Amino acid sequence: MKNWSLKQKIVAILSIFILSNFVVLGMGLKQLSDADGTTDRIVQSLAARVALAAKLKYNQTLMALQIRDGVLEATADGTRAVMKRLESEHTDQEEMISAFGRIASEEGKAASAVYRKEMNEWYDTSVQLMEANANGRHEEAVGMLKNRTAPLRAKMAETLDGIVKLNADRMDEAAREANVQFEHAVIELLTISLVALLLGTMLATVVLSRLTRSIQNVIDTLQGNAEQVAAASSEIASSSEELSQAATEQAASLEETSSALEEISAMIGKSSENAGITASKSSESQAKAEEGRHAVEQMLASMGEISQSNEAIVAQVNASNQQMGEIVRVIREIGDKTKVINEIVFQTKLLSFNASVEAARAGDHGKGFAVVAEEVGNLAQMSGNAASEISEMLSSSIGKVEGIVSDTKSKVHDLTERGKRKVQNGVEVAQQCSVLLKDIVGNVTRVAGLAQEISHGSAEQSQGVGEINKAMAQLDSVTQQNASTSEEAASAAEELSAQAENLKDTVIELVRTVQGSDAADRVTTAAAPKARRASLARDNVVHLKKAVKPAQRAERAQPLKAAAGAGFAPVPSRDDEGFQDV
Amino acid sequence: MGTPKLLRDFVHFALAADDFRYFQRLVHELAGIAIAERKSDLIASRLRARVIELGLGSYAEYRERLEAGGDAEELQVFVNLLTTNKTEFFREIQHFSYLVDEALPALGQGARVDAWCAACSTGEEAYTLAMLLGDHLAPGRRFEVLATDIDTKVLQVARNGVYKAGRLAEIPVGYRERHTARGRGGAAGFFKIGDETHRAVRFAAHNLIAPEVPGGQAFDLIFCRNVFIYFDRATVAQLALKFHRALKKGGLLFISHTESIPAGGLYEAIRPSVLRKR
Repeated sequence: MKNWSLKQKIVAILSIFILSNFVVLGMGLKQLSDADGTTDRIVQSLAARVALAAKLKYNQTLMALQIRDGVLEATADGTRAVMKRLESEHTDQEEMISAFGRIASEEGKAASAVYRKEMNEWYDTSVQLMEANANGRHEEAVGMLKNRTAPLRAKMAETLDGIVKLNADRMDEAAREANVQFEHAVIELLTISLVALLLGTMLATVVLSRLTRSIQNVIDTLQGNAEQVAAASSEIASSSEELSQAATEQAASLEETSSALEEISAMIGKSSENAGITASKSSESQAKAEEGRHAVEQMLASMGEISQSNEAIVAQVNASNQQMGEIVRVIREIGDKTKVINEIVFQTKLLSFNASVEAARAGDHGKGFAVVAEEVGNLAQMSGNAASEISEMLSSSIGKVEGIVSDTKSKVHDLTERGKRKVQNGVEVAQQCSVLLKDIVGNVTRVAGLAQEISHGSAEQSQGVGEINKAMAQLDSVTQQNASTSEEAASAAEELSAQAENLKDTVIELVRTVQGSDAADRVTTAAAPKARRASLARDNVVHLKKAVKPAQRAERAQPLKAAAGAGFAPVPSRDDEGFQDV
Repeated sequence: MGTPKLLRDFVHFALAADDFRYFQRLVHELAGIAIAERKSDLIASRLRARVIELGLGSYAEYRERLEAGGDAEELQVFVNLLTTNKTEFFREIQHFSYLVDEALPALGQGARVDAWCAACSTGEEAYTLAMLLGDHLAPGRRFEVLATDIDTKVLQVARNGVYKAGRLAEIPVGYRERHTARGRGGAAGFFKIGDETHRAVRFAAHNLIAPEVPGGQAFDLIFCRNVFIYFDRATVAQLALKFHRALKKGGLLFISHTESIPAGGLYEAIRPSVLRKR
């Protein structure tokens, strides 16, 4: 029976009840039909006999009344009319007796034969009695009535009573029998019903308790599972939500990291560039410093030369002073010559005067000559004036030259003395410069080396950042996918969680069906909805973003995309020639 | 350069509750997508790049731009950003096993098999269907897969039908050989869906919450998986009615194993997450 389905089990139990019902029904019907037989016997034979006997008695009484009426009739016709009625009643009596005989027992048959004989004797006597009365022998008839028919009738009635009594007794017996039969039937039916009920109940109890036990097991398991599933799926829902949120945040921070990287990249580019510039500048500086050193050396040499030149200048100045003396002498000589000029001017004036006089003597012919003589006089006057101016200038020149010479002498002396000191200082400074420049050249050489190294380092860094960018782009793509996947998972888990709640409700419904609503209420309170795990307080997660001016942001967004694109091959078109046709 | 750029002024780039509710309502209005209150971070993260790309300073500015109206293109971008596009080849393979083993043999002798891949995302599900129909329908029997999505950006990817080579692992070997081509040279690291399979799929933009059914034909198969999870119950109930209208009698609706719809006498659940139109 263990392998039976629920339907089979219920059908089996119902079958037992229905079968026992049929058995009880069959038994009941049999008992009823038995009882019916008994009743039939009572009703159809015994009761019919009793009824017939009663009818016989009644008919008999009617006959007795006819007989009496016949005796009382005064006319023969009247008597004969009564006789006719008596005859018909006798025929009835005969028929009744025959009928009785047909349904009577053997004993009854014998008794009815006796009764028939007695009745016929009574009738015959009565007919004689009536005949006598019809023939006018009224007295005889009355006498016969008293002495013959009356005793015959009494005997007859006794026989009939016997018959009735016999049947009454029989009826009593039958009734008793029926009673006993009924009691038996009741006991039998009760027993069978009880046995069937007991059997059915036992079976039902066994089956139902097993069924209940197994359903209970199912319910317990289901309930446990449903709660577990509900808890698990709510757990999943909350974790996938966390996951989703985490992925979302990851995507955001990735984006921030990307922008940061991009800036780092830009900075590295910048410093690489700067290092390059530094390197080139420092080699320039090196060359310049080298040049400087050369210049200083040249300067030192020049200083020596200056020093020598100074000596030469002093000598030169002395020489020029001597030349100045010569010049003074020459000027004096010029002065002397000027005096000669003055004399010539005087002679010329005189000549011009003489000429004028001679011209006047010549009259009109000498007029032209007079004009020339006047002009010559004027020229001589002008020459005289110029000569005296020259004399003045010469004497002032001599004074000045002598002043200059002595002045120059002292100034040159001062200057040469100062120049000497300056040159001395210059030499010292230049020597210091030379030393410093030597240091500078050394340092610049080192700086150039370092800048070169920085430049190499930056290039490597730049390459590294490029790789990181590539990785970031991949990470970004994966994170975007993760974010989508986890969002989908979170939404699905939410749905799952709702369905798990439905499952729980269904189990409660099942419990209600199997165990009643009290049990279901207990289950509901036991499985009181666990507080859904509040999504993690994520207020502490700070989303950082640089406050960059919008325009700058837009600017920055572009290279990031470009960088991502460069690091992460773009999806080719399906018409790309790299695809072989299938 | 002064202070290094990186250390300069970090600030909160946050989505205010008020703006969040605006975006939440807008995406529900436009696409039927229901985003829970606690998913503010999701919206913030998905819109962030766009806000920066547009050179705006905050989510509030983006909201103002959308509120100003008249910018249908930006609304489409907004919807594109807020859709979740998760899909795979042969995802939830039980459905496809059932399709090949039981549903397709039972399809009978119609003129053409019509399938609708509702919310196809980047096209993987539609191509999976095309591969299966191409390989398992009686020879010569015609079929078409209509693939729709509200997100025009993913539709571009879907139409192109080119995916990273790593995704090939999702496709069983036999199908891989018959229906894909690996790229070389400039297309190295990618594969494309074979031309014949590609031709069997027709892509179109379609908003599921719109009342009309796309394509104009009745469908034998509708795949709408992992979509209801983003909608509220009322929208799902409407969609159940719409798909019922779109299906031929006895046509099948496939939803995700995690989903359920109010069948309401419209459908008969013939196995988990497979429904038949009554």
